[in-house]
Amino acid sequence: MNFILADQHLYGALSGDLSSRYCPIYATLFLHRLWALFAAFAVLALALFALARFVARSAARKDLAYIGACAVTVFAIGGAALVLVALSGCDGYYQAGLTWDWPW
Amino acid sequence: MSGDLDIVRSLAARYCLRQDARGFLELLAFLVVLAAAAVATLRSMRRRAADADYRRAASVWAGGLACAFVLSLGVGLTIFRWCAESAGPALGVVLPTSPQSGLDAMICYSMNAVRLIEGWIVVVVAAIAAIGLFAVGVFARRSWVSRAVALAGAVVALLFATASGFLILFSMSWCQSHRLF
Repeated sequence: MNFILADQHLYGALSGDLSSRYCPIYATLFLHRLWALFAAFAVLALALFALARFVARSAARKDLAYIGACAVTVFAIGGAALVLVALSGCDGYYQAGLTWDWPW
Repeated sequence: MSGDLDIVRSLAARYCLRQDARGFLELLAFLVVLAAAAVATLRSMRRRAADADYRRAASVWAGGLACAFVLSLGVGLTIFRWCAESAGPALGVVLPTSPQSGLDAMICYSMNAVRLIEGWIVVVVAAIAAIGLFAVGVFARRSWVSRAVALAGAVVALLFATASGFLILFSMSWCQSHRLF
């Protein structure tokens, strides 16, 4: 019984450590920065799509612009998903000196 | 008990994503660039279907890029898995599910994941540059001066890739040996 209680205490301490290290100090500000970054990537992807659709003349340039737009879109969605999944492990606390202030 | 373990493992996975977020984002960008380069090569191959030499060179190039993509994905997944498995012991709590051997190596690799990923990217880029310059030096229909410069560049890129790979392995070995003393 005591052994199980000791284990649960250890698990509690470990869970606390794992869910408070590398967490942002201000989660709202962190998310605002993340969405601003995501919006910048979305604008870049849209610009590349527009370039491919309306400006590029040769087939090679059209291809390059479309591939670039798709690459930027995949990176923006993948990066935002990675950051959000990582952030979901925080329980609202942070450890001084081990914070995550910016998505990068 | 197993419920507690599941919670700890889930938290450990997300802890690793946060700890090495910069490295994983850089690796994601690198994977996207490799995939985009491979697709662009295949598209250009389709446009120049009549040129057999170009098609052969482009298919080899796209295959090399795909190979680099798979290897880089493997490096990222391995670092992530090792980090998640060694997160408990790294914080001082050995779990029943913690690996019995190779723990020092796992902790070393996961604690230096960002440097490791950046070093890996440098090695792969240098290797790709070496292969490309070698192909230009051997197969391109250009003057002998430009072909010689391309071959010299290939040698330099290859030496740089080898030295970078050696430095990565050396620093990881150093990290592990330092833990013993």
